[in-house]
Amino acid sequence: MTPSFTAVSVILFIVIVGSVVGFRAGAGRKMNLEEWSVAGRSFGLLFMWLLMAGEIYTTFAFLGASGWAYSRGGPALYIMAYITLGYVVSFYVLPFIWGLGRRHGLQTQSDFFEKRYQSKGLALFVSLIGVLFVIPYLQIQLVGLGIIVQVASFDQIPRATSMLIAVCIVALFVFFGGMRAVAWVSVIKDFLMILAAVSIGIYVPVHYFGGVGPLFHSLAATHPAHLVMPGATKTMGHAWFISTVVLSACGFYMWPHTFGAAFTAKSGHILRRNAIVTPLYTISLAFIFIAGFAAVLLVPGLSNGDMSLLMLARKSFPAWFLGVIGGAGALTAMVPAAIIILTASTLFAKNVYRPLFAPQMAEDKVARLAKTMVLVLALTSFYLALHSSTTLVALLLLGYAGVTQFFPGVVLGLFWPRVTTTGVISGLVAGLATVASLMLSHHDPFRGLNAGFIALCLNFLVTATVSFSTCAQENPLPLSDAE
Amino acid sequence: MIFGLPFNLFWLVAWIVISSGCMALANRVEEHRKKKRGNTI
Repeated sequence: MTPSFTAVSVILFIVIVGSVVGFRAGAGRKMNLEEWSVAGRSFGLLFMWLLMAGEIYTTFAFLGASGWAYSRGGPALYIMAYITLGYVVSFYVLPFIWGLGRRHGLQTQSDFFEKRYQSKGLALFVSLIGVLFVIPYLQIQLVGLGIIVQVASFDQIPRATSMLIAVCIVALFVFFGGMRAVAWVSVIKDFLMILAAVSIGIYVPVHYFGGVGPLFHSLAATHPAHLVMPGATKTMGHAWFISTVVLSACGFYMWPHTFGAAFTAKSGHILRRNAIVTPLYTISLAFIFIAGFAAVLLVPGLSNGDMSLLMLARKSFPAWFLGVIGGAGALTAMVPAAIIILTASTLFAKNVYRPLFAPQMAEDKVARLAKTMVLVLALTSFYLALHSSTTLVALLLLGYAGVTQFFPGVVLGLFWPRVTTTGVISGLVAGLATVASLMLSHHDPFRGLNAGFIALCLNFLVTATVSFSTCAQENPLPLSDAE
Repeated sequence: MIFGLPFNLFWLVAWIVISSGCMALANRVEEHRKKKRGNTI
């Protein structure tokens, strides 16, 4: 049996087991829109933890983090800082969003904007922008899957074929299982990901260098600038680090799928306890970074840094264990891809198609349309992933720069009754226009700061100024409703 | 180097644990305050 056959068979086995678990989770339940998209708002602490870890610790954390540690060095550590701060933001914001969701029957981010600002136009705009910026995030998962199968098959299976197979499996288990299926697959995914991270992060430094300390001593001696700012880059200094951490922490729960996941909780307490416990999972990222830094010395000269973790695993472990690591990676791509597709398809059907073309459409028909959209979105993202050439982290930063522009509308909408609809629309347009102009003209970072952060500051300023200069309006979602 | 890790990596790992601890503390204070008020989220 060739190493390629062994590794790919193990990956396939893990993916099949994951899919069967997903299919079984949805069996025997009446799949209305509420059950399919927010699991009937029934998740306790364990399932919330699994779901949130499932959608946050993606193939970006698995391959992208090690890839940036390999190719960029010090700046990659922003990932550990922003995830931790993102939970702190969620600790204060999500329980209120959940409370308002329960009281007013909200299922998506756009529902929040529509109810809070009494504007169908704003809700439509938020949905479209949300779906647009979530596509790079979906692309990350598919590109990651392609890399996994390509490396594990020792370049025998083309990336495009592996991505197509993965897209079909993801679409099928979202179609039949819904949000509950995704949370169940997360059980296997989280176990395997921690196993893979710890195995690589401990075994590799001990085996090749005699420990983690000697690894970093060797790295500091041979690449003295790699571990400090701006690492192997010229533009990602301390200002970039801080602005990117602030931007990403604010945007952590502004993705349509992470925002929507808050509605699946059984209570606001669950979300607070989840924010306390889940950051500890981030410690596993330290092992991923260690693997990325070790790869600088052990597999130098890779043209694509995102392949570093798997190339290191291929060099260090037998084929069957490369398969286990590849299987873990495949699930870390499939679980979030499923959540994103599920949320984006619900958003499209409920908040774009229904208000525009069929205002009288019943909930069960919306659910049916959302399921059809699963297939459309899966195939669209597959097409985009095929033509992607950028790194996983760069794709994520692009998405964050966009979705974080919702942050002022959400936070001011919750805590500042004076904010007005015109103010939020103006701020959002100003923020998105700034992001687009800076990024499309290749001015990111701009004067050392993350372009998305500059846009966010401008967004806040415009929202506040326009709100003050327009007539005050009634707040239909007072915080007392969330209690 | 601290515990074999470069200072910046050690600092970030340490703050993951400290942040969880701070939120746990804030949660206790908040729950205590709510109990006193006889109100829950």
